[in-house]
Amino acid sequence: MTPSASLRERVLADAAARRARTRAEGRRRAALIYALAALAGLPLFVFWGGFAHAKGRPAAFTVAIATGATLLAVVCGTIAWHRGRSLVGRPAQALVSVTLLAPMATYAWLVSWHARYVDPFARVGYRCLTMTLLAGGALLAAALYVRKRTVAVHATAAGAALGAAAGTFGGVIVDVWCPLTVPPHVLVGHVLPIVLLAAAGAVAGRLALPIRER
Amino acid sequence: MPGGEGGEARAASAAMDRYATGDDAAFATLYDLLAPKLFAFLLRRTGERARAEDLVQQTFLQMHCARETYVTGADVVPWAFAIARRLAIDAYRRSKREIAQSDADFGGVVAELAPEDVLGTKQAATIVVETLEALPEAQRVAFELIKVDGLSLAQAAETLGTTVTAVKLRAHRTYEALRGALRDDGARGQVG
Repeated sequence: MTPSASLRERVLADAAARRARTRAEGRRRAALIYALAALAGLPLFVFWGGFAHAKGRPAAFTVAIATGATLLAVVCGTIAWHRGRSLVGRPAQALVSVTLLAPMATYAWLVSWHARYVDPFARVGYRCLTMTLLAGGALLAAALYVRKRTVAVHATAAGAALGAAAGTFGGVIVDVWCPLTVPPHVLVGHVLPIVLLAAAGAVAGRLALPIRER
Repeated sequence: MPGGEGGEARAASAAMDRYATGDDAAFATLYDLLAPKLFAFLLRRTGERARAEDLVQQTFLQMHCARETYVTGADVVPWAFAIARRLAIDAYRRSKREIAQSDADFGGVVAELAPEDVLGTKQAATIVVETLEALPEAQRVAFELIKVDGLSLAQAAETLGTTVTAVKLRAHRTYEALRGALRDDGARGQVG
């Protein structure tokens, strides 16, 4: 049971007629897109006071909280972004786990610092929400753009995991800026945007990521 | 190729690696190594030669367009099968046509499952096809990838985007369903 001889000619002619980036070209392009996306949260960070906004909290705590948040983001990003040796991507179970655990781990990590210092002021968390959505949203958009029409299985789960991971990365800059770890604020300002980005990632992933006929 | 013919799978992955770096001639090698298996897989899913060939063409076009994403050392076989399956599902949803399975594809499965003194091969193959069609798609495909297409458990798991344990379970359930169907039919034949 073999395909016809003419199919081989058609396939090779198809490939010759369409320009496709090589791996090196693809990596350069992705690096540029992700680098630009990573800068998206900076203007708001600077506009709203930058590092000085967190001065009511001991600097060592800010560094420690941001370091932990970075490690969490790297773990989530490694599972959601990096496909390892598989071209298909991570199993659905791993993608769903990242989506669910990223907001939970963020909440647990930030609130664990609450009793160690006195919050300098009280806020609902709308600015943290906005900054995380902006910084994480840009990364999510970049990931969806770089990976559009390349996902063969579990596009929705892949999109959700990318959204959650983007939210944790976006949250790092907010953790440097925001000195509050009181639970209601953490829920609104730091956890809710990750959940929203995961939901947005699931919807956008379903639309943008799956392989489609060309 | 895959599973029992790991050498060809490695050769296909090496060809894809060369292609990803810009060696355009490697695409023909990749085609020669993968096309027969993909065609058999897609023919079984579509039941129509021309349609299966269109999907093979689309599968290679997708691999061509996504060559930048290829990671050195990755197994190209599960990726190719995953793309082919995705395209076949989309095509099926568009056309809503019945997938006609070919009895001949299941000769090996029948030989493994059905004692020759109970059922004729042709009759057993029909039962296998009918039973497979009644099973959930994910369960059926896991079984077919391993038993008919010759993928290893790890390759099948990667193709389906799940774990090896899940694939083992799906394949085992399918295997048990087929054994049960063949046993029941054999018992009916003896009573009749």
